Amino acid sequence: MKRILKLHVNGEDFEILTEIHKTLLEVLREDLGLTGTKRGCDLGTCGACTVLIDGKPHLSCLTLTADVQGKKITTIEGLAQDGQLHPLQKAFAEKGAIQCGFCTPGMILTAKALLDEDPHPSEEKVKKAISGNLCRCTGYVKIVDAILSVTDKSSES
Amino acid sequence: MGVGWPRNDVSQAVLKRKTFQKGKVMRDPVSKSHLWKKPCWEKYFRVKTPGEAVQILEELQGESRVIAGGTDLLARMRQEGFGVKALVDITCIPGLGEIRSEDGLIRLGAVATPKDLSQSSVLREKAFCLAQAASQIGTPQIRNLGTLGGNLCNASPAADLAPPLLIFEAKAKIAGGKGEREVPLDSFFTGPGQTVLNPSEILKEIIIPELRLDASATFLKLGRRKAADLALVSVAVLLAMDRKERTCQLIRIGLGSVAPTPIRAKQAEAFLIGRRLDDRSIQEAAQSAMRESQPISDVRASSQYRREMVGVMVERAIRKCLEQLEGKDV
Ligand SMILES: Cc1cc2nc3c(=O)[nH]c(=O)nc-3n(C[C@H](O)[C@H](O)[C@H](O)COP(=O)(O)OP(=O)(O)OC[C@H]3O[C@@H](n4cnc5c(N)ncnc54)[C@H](O)[C@@H]3O)c2cc1C
Repeated sequence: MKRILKLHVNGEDFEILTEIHKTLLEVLREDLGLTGTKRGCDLGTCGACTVLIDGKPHLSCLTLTADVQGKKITTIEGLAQDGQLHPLQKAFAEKGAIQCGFCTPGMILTAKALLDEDPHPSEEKVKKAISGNLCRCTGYVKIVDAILSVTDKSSES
Repeated sequence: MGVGWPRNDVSQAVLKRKTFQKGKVMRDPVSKSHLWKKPCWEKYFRVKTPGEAVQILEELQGESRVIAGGTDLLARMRQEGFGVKALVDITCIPGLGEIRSEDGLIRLGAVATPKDLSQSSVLREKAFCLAQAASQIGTPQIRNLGTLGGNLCNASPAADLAPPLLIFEAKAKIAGGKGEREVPLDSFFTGPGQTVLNPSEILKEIIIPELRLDASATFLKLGRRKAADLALVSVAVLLAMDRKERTCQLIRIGLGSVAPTPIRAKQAEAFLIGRRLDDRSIQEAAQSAMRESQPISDVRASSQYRREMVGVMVERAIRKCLEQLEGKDV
């Protein structure tokens, strides 16, 4: 059954006519064309579909769209401002923390939630924060480096 | 914005969506996930009171189901391909996620998330091992989304919150058409995936009775890795002793993942009570717990390994409680 759902994504309001049983992942990718959010395992294990809901990392594959009306949803497309990449996006590119790129959107959003909560996390805390985001290419070292490099920069300024 | 859909414009968004999708259904050639049946339901109720939930569940008996975080339910629907007519979302019921300490009791609302539990100052002070267990569930994302009620009602033998609640002799407060009832958690689970709840009842609250101040508790989880893994064996132990004699005054042992439901190792408890806590008695209790467990073999571990580890982990947990007791000033 189709319903009109109201969503607030990346600072914009949307009204979408869609099936009520769709997950947020499906609506983002299929109805809004925001394909930066990836479908990995579709079972909540891999973290590739991570988006921010009210600033916290959530799995969009296990989140029903009907449930997040009125909440603030941030996807990877919402990070760059005025044509400028977010510092985390820059750091990932510069530090070689991306290979195939499939885990990257979820990884960066999870890292953003961490840094918003704690701008100077320890390495251990970074590792724990991204423990729900699977990467099969990089071995995590460069990802952790990239995240930590952003915390260094902000501490210098 | 990557794709600039017009604001507040249903017709255009939908129109554009159709052109966008046409002929562009791409499938991942490796993943089989596109073969899974899409979970499907026609109605989605976001109820505001437990009574409302019960009423809908009664009216749509057999065709409706409670959904909390959905981390178990949606994943299972997707894998097993079953659908229901209606889902009843209980996460918007005011107060149902509260964690309170009241008249010596600790009350945990059914939709408290593992993250809520792990950060709760009440639990950190009075029932730390439950906070510990919650902080080890799944991944950070799962801990933001799952719930206490879902963890228990899903009735997985591996539910991490069950062993700590078993040793605290917690009670489940259940709301149904005929009013409310309380069931000791010990008799809440009836088999893998099964509980005493009937289809139109919901779990409202978990109540932890007053705990002895001089007791110590520990939760240990053995997984194959640190994150995103179910327990191969989990153990919770509650211990109090006579300090002078070093005799065991109170012992409760909860085990997860090693029987059709989370269980108490009651023979091991009976063996240890009143005995002096030394290497020999602790080892014998651990062996008794091994005999009481009935683990299965599956993709994650063999039953022999699991049973062996019950012994190791029970012993380790009792020793950890002892250490904590020795460090405690009473
Ligand atoms: C990647 C991943 C990792 C996981 N890791 C762990 C882990 O390490 N340890 C662990 O214990 N679990 C783990 N889980 C399982 C799951 O996340 C937890 O059990 C979680 O607490 C379930 O809560 P939920 O609200 O999401 O349940 P839901 O999926 O919403 O519900 C589960 C079942 O309980 C019923 N239900 C829910 N709430 C109520 C209620 N109040 N009254 C009546 N019925 C109710 C539903 O109808 C459904 O049948 C994991 C899951 C995933 C996907």
